[in-house]
Amino acid sequence: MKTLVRAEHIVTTFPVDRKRRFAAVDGVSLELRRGEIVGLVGESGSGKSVTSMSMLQLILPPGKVEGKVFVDGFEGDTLAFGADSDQVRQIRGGKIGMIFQEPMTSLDPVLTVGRQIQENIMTHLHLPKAEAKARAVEMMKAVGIPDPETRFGQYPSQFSGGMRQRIMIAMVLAAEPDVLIADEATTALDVTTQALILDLIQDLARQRDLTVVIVTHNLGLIARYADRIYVMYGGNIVESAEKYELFDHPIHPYTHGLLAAVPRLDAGKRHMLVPIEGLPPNPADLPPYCKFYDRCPYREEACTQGPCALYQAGEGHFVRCALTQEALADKRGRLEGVRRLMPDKTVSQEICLEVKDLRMDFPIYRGLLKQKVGEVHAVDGISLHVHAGETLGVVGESGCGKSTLAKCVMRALKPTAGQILFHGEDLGTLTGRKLKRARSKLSMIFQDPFSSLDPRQTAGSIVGEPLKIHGLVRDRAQYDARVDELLRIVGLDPTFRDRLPREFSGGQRQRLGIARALASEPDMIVCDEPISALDVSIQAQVINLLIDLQARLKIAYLFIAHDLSVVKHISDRIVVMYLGRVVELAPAERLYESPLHPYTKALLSAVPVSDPHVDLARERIELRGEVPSVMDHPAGCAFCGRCRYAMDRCRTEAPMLRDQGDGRQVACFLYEREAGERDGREGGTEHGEA
Amino acid sequence: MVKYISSRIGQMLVTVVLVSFFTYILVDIMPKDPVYALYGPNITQEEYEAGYRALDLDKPLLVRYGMWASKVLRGDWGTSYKHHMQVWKLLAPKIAVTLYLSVLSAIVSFAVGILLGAVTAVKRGKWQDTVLTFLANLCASLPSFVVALGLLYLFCIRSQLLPTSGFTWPWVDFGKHVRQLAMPLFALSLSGVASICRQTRSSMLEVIRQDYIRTARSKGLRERVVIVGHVMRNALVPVITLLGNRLAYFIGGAMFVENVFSIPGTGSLMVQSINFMDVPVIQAFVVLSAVVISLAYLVTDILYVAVDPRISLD
Repeated sequence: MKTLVRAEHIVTTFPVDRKRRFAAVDGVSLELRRGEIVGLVGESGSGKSVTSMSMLQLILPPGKVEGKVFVDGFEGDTLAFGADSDQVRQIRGGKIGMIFQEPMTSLDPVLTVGRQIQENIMTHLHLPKAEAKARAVEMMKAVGIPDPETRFGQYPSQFSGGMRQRIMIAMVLAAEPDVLIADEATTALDVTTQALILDLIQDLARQRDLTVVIVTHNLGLIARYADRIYVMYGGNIVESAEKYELFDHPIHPYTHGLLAAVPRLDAGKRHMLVPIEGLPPNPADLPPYCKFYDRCPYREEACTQGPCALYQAGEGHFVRCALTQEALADKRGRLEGVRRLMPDKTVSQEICLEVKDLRMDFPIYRGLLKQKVGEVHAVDGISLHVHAGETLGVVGESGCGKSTLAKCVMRALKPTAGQILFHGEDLGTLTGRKLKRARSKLSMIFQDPFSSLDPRQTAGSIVGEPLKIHGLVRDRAQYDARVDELLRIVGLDPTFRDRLPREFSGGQRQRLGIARALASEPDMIVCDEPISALDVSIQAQVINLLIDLQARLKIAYLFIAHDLSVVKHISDRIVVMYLGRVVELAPAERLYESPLHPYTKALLSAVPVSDPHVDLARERIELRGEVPSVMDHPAGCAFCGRCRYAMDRCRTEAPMLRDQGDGRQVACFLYEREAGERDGREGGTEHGEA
Repeated sequence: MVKYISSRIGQMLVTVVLVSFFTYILVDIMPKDPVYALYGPNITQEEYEAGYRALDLDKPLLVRYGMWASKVLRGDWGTSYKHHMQVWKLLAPKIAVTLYLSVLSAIVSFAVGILLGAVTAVKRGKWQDTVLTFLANLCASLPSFVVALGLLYLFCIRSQLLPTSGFTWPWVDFGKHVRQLAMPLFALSLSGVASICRQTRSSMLEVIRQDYIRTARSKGLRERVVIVGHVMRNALVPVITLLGNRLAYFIGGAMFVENVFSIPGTGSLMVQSINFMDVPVIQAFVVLSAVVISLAYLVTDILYVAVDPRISLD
């Protein structure tokens, strides 16, 4: 295969202060060959995005790129031409196109999408305006944008996230580049949309013999889509190999760590995850030797002797480690086998939280006088229960109402209708002292550990505040002892109690959030996306902590997340939500093994498994379209517009959630008959109520 | 769009009517008898009563306001107490001069300010930025009459390069017009240029960091195209909203500058009228200012919607 781009020893530095510079990318060499899909995987701060931007010379001063980049069709080192030279501008967009992470902010908001696509075509293909327009419309059609002629004249704010990312792809591919770099291009999107976009990129790449670089932190995506993989850590490539070689025979300790730290949809639930200990590297403060040294379970004295070189471990398989392949294999043999089993926990039959027919409507106001013109049914009749000590997972894509459900349970919102029974008392009607008492037994962990902690409050005061609010301590000594204990429980050093949130890393901040939630000795914690803002290696630490705490303190969790693998790993039972309704409820293992609802099936199939063999063997279900807006709720089943089994009945009538035996419930007419046989003929009456 | 504009014009009319009503009440609040003010103090009781009725002062306030407003709509603002002539005839030529000066000053401020702001943003941290930003910070805080006095000293007293005073319309004598206008325009526009320069700079620096500018660069566009086509397009949205605000400021500032350079604008007339409590003139001036400023805000709002498609008209 022909090499299109070859980067040699790229070093990208940024200034720390007047004298010192730090290297965000520290000697990366890689090559891209025609027609292959390359995965560039690493956590935040690994330098993966900086690497791809350095190759395109998109690093702005005071950042500086050194090294050499050779691009097919251009004489010599293109870095030497300078960032604003004609040659480099031809490469940017013309030869190598790039799609960025945030579809919501990556398009110019004041120009029509058509013009932005046209601009790219006119710059690189030198076509007159009318032809460029025709080509732009054609490209929009090719990436699956319905009615491209009309949408050509619309602005980015009129498109959904998934559609904007399609516009980006159309824009980049319209100039016929040879290489497409997708820098976390689907991270901000829902799982099903992510699968659609990457499938689209894969198809287009095959049709056009395009080279694609997928820059991501998600090992599953790499396992599904990439042909060849570079693993990055602390500004270095630590391992590179063909996909199957890398997943079958990973060598570098970091690659191993990463694979063990990520929960997998297909894995059993007996074992705990193996987190990578320590903190992700701070690019401004890296050692001159192996960057992974501090967190490496295999580290030796020899590792600190200077930067380690890349060695070949097999055909096309390169590893950067001071230890040889044999030494690593030997050590691994001795370290392995210590994988922890999940702690035993007791789920009692007592019901801790019961939600009955919960509805939450938000009014929509329009016009000068702010008249109410309609309602959004964010939560549209949900019933579920959580046993004491149990974890109930809630999954669903954006707009499905899972966060609204959490807010209702916390009584941050007053539900429109229905009951929320917590130990038998209806939270929806409690007020004053009774509500306060109930709240001390029900706490919450938030998504963003950066914005959910008061930046001016010390760690000790953050954790201790609930103790004071609920009057749980008698005096100062007791307070201090309890705060220290809470910090220790979540694995933080009690001497950190006077530090401010900004002095902690993301993972540590989330531990603070957990300690705060635990302070009032709750019976139940609502976890709203508690790990989605954290790095992969840190996620495992927090998940393990939550599992251990549950076993020790017998707390029930309502665990809300969009990451199905994580939810499956931690939950006993899972609720699948779609547009404000529950479509399926089942024990975690069973939901994965044999999902019933067409939406659950599609959702599960969209999640890639970080093992290419397993992933290849799984059934893929193409899901049409994107999650519709909650504003236009269809009359019948909310999912009917995207369902491949949709019947006429689905469009006019909403299916009820029905028991399917062995603890599962599903809301779908496909399973109506079996249910009907079991429960006699009550089906007809229930629909009347719906 | 049509619905939006008509609703905004509606709001504007409400504003103008309210302003006009409160200005009308001035007649009753001011400690000056309008009959004596108009006909002089040496009139007989009969003459006074005839004048009282002629001015409709025997009717209730709201009726008088209604009659006044209907006359105003026909262009009749009443008679000046001091100059004993139709307010409109007195005011029209002076308003033309002030408006000319303010609008010209707004054009100069926006054109030069945006240009300099763009230069400082693009050359951020370089000497051009340091010098211009320093000057902008200095000039933004200088009152226009101080600048005017400084200019007078430099160009008239020390060097006699420019005429000290007067105003000539460009179609009468263009050369004279330019010589006479140079200093007042400079004095009036300087702080505008400075503050628009600062606004443009910070707005552009904000936009330059945005993801879509990185996207534009990744398409291989020339830096000039990126700056003009993408950065400026976005950065000017908040700058344009200053237009209404600035125009109001220039109308106020023009009065000081007109006084310094003896320009026959509304400035000196207003000062005289207030001193003399020439109520009809003050009324006309306040209402007309309200109309001009409301119009400026209307234009600003329409521009805002036109340049930023994210602002929905609903």
